[in-house]
Amino acid sequence: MRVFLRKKKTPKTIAKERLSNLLLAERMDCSPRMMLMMKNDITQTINRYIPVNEDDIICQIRHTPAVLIYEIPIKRTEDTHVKTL
Amino acid sequence: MSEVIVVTSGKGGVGKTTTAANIGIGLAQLGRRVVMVDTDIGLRNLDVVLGLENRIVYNLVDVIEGNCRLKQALIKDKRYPDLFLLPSAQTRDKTSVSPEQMVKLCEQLREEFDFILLDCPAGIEQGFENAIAGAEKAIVVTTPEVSAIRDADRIIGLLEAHDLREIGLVINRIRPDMVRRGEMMSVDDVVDILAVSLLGVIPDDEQIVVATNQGESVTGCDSDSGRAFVNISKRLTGEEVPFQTFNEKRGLISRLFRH
Repeated sequence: MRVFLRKKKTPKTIAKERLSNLLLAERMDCSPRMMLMMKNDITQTINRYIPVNEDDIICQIRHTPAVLIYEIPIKRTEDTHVKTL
Repeated sequence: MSEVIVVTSGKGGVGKTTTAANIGIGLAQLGRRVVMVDTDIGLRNLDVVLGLENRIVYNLVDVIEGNCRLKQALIKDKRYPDLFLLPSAQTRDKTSVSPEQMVKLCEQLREEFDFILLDCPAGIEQGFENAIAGAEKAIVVTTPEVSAIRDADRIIGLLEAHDLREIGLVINRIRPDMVRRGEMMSVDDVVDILAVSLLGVIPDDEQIVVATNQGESVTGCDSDSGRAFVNISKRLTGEEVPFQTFNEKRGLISRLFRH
């Protein structure tokens, strides 16, 4: 059922996603592959404690001041009672 | 108070020169004293975009090397009372000029003009360093494409590293119909990614090609792009102008549904 609810990827969302990943790596001065590995590590670590929506994680970096921002949406299941964040 | 503004982009072909020319004309139409400096040594183009290519006698390198006085090299655009072009040299390369010399030139121009617009070459080499040396503000031009935005991000980083923090973003060649269909990144998407303040949005417009072919500008013309350039020029003079929404050309189906 979740598959049907997921937002359809358009050329625009694909472009935005590719750019976000690319710029994140370039602003951190490391390879896109390394950024992806870091993203996976962080996601896995958090996932061990709280179920998260891996597909909707937003990861970006701001120029000044340099801040790494992770937005990790929590998976809502019947057992978790997370109301609003 | 005069302002030295560099128009830059990183990637070539996104419309830097056309943007610089149209903003310069827009400022001149608002009664400001404007000089446009083509800093692309070896690949000059601002002269043809402005339709002034047949009037070049001296150029930027001649001024810097002292072969002529500054006033002799400035070409007056007869269409406007206070619009001048300082053309670039075509048969030299970017090593003919140093950043220090550009700073000195900009200081000289400040005495005569309200706005000094520097048209920057593509790339991040010495030509870029020369162009930004004397500037206090930057206009970064991009198109809503991955490659152009990536380069714009790099340029913004380099500008900030050079302590040039007053940056205005111009998004060129937006296609409202494609944005609506989810086929192109929107203005908000681009601003969100680059995280700099928006100075203007220019829609993709055939009129720009028509005008540029004839060495004319679209600024002030009755078209979306013409109005967009007028708005950018006004914003540069400190006026607050709301961002326009473009008249989308609707397909038959959506038109039927709307009316």
